[in-house]
Amino acid sequence: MATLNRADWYDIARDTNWTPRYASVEEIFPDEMSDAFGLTVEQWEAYDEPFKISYREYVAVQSKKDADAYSVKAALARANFFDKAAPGWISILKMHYGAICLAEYIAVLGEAKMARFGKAPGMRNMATFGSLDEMRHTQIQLYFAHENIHKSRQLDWGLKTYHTQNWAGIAGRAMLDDVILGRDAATMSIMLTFALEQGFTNLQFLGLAADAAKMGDYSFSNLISSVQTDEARHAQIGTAALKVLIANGKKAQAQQAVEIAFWRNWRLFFSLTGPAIDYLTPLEHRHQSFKEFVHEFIVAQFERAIEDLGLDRPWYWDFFLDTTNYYQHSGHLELWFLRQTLWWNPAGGVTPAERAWLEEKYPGWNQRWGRLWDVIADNVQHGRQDKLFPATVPMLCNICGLSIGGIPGQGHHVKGHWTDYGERRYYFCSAPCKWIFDIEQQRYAGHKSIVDRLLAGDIQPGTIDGTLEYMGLFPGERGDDADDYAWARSALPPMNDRSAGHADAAAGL
Amino acid sequence: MHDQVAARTSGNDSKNMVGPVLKSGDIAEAAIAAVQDDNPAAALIVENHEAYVRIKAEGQCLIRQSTMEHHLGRPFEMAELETVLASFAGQIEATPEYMRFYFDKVF
Amino acid sequence: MDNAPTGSDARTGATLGPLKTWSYLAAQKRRPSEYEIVSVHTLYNNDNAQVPLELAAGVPMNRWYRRYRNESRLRHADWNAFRDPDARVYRSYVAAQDKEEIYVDGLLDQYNALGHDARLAPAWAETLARLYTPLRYLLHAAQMCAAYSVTMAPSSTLANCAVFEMADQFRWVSRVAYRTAELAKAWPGLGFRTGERRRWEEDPAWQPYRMLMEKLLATYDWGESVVALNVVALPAVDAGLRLLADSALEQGDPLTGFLLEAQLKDSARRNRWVRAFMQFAQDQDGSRDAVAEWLAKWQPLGEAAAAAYGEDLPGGAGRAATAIQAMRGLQDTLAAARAAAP
Repeated sequence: MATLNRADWYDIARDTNWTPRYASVEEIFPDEMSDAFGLTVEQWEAYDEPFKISYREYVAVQSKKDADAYSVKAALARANFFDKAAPGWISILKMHYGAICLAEYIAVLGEAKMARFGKAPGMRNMATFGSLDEMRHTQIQLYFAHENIHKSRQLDWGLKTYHTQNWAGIAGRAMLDDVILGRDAATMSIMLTFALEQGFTNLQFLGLAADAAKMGDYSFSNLISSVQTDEARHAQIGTAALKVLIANGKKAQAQQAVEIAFWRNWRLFFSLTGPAIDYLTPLEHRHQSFKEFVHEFIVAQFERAIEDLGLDRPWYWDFFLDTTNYYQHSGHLELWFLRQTLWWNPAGGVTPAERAWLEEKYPGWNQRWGRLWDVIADNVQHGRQDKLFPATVPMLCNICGLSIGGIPGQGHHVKGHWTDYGERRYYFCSAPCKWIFDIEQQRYAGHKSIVDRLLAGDIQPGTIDGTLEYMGLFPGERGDDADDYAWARSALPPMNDRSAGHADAAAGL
Repeated sequence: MHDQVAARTSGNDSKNMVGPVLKSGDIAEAAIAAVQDDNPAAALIVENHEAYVRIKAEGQCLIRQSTMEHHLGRPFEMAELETVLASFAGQIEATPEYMRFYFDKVF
Repeated sequence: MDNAPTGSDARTGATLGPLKTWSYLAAQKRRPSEYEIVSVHTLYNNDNAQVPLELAAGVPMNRWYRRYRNESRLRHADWNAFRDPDARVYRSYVAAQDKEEIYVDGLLDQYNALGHDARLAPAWAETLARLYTPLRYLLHAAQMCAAYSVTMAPSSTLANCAVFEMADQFRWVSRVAYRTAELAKAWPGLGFRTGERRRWEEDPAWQPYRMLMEKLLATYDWGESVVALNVVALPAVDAGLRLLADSALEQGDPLTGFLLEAQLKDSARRNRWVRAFMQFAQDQDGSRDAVAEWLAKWQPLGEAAAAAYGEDLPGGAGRAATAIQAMRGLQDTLAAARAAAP
């Protein structure tokens, strides 16, 4: 390294605001792009990014990370892990790449928006690295996904999901666009880097890395934990922004931004990471339950960070904690029923041994969820094909785009949440999603879920095939049970004695 | 569940535990040793999650560049810790001489 | 187009089999390169021109994208067909720049060991305080403009070029800051570290550059912004830097000369994609007309800036005219549309 220490010159490189003369400050930093909080450039100059790194260090550290990740992949390429792994694990890889790769790219643009419109030079500089980081995440994950593309058409969704009208793609875009590009730089710094990156990415990128290491999928484990090291750095952009905002009397607005983004992220991450960790990972390789990961990274770590900054726990916190007991279970059951609409093959994950694990991790699981899987198994055993698919289209939430469901049967507590706005009624999965809509109704109104589109006749023909094709899914890439229903055939004795066994499990949702 | 690979505490997890989550490997091992040297008075817990280790120290967790070099037996720039720093609890201060995790508000 | 089924068998209901690459790239005859596999079609927010973001059509950012990107006069039928001639990807970028930074560290250490700064002529040290170290403001403005191109680019292959450009500008903001700290140590009292902002805001040599960059920062039409920045403004900045390098070598300051040379290497890479992009982007009359208009509007600002700065440098008055001539030549080369087929 060169002679001077970073501290000797670092502040000079972030002393780059000046008073413009040939264009106004408002023209260069319009509020709608820069700062919905309306702080001045001078107020933002107190911004002090805590995780400091220079360009020189950045390229050195990042090329080391890349050399490591790519060489582990190359070293293991001949081991043909993909051909030998359990089907459920392969499904996780397909789900991960399809849901994540292009989401990362929207963050490239989001970070660049902070690099352009952030009023604090320190934010602009750290976001410059952030944008590069997100390009790394897009590219390295696409590269790893592409390695096995000749083995499954479903891997095409690594590049495809977000370009389609698949319901999951719509839900992903809706969340990402709401918390990233649809926001000004200051709000985005909270929603993207604080709520999403400091909060939730740990679940997918470290939770799955832990399971992958146990699986022996070192290439994937190393990849996603390496990705997370970039997040740990640039996620700090939001911490410094929150300090400035709170110091300038904007706590209430900042609090609201955290609450909106936290909830929107939770709604997607439970449905993605939850089933992966609690059902799709082969039992012997599970490190912790999804709930345990949530408690490690969200409750113990993120909630504490919220408190430390002087913010409050989100108003729906008790409800959120309660949902860590069941969202992933209803989500998994639903994804399994909707498997034709997915680009991966969900595994049942409910063999007797797996049920014992679920019951241990989630006391009462058998009572709540096991009996529904019993019905499904019975239907499989009796060849009742029509009962293995949803009888009707699920109702989707007009904010998060996921289905409106809850705990089935006993303790069933799905409550109706809706808002009438304009000429129609908007339905929501939960009080927080309704709360988000009601904060800024014109922001979300008019958006059509896939179900709205079906009902409006936008999808032609409105048959199952027509709808699947509208969602970009053709035979050969539509999901099916990962284990060809083997779990249902062998797991249980036939249940001829159950008169209620013909009940449609999906109707219980 | 994870197991603890090192512990220097008699009580339960306190609300003030801070520290890094590191990708497993030689740098993480050196960091575990360095944390014990650099935080002699703090209660410590190290959890092994195979892909990663979580280091928790009460109140503050300091890792010095010189201590890392000592345990790695080679030159080490503090920025290199980022290659394995996947997450962390607490706030961070990152300088070429040390990395420090801490809370503003201690309970 | 993007949502259409891929593969000819889709329409017939036949089962789709695995492909050798992304279905999006499968139609091309060549086996895709790593660059194509990880760079092409990774941006989805230009699929729906009317409602780019999955939010109500009327939200400000949807309006912004419609107005400033989709309705820009710079048009192309398929922005995704653009390719960076260097085929630069993230991992090759950080690996290459790590090597370049090691070279720069070597330069700095070597000259530092020789006591370089203390041996500069006092008048030249003053020139550096006035005409070199305030450069970080200009480069940071360029960093911000490149960041804008990233957020607004209509395709990922183009946005990626802008990401590297943004990062390159920050690289030199950092190195200029580093030199500022070194020079402040060797030459206390010349205003190194404390005087740059005032000079950037007030010194007549900087004002035309400042006007150029401030007007660029307030230009939101995506096409105009990318053309004015890359075809006009940055070549005008480079013309000034070349003149500064000439003066530095003449004045016994090889370090500044070598650093600027290293900086101009990044510009050369930028010029390669800009040239390819301008050829690509001007395949229809509307785009060509728009580019011509933008050049007519911005080139005088660029020339005035390079001239004011260059002529102020020691020995610059005699060299500026030739440098500006060369700059015009470069701008013409960059701006050229692909020659029509004979």
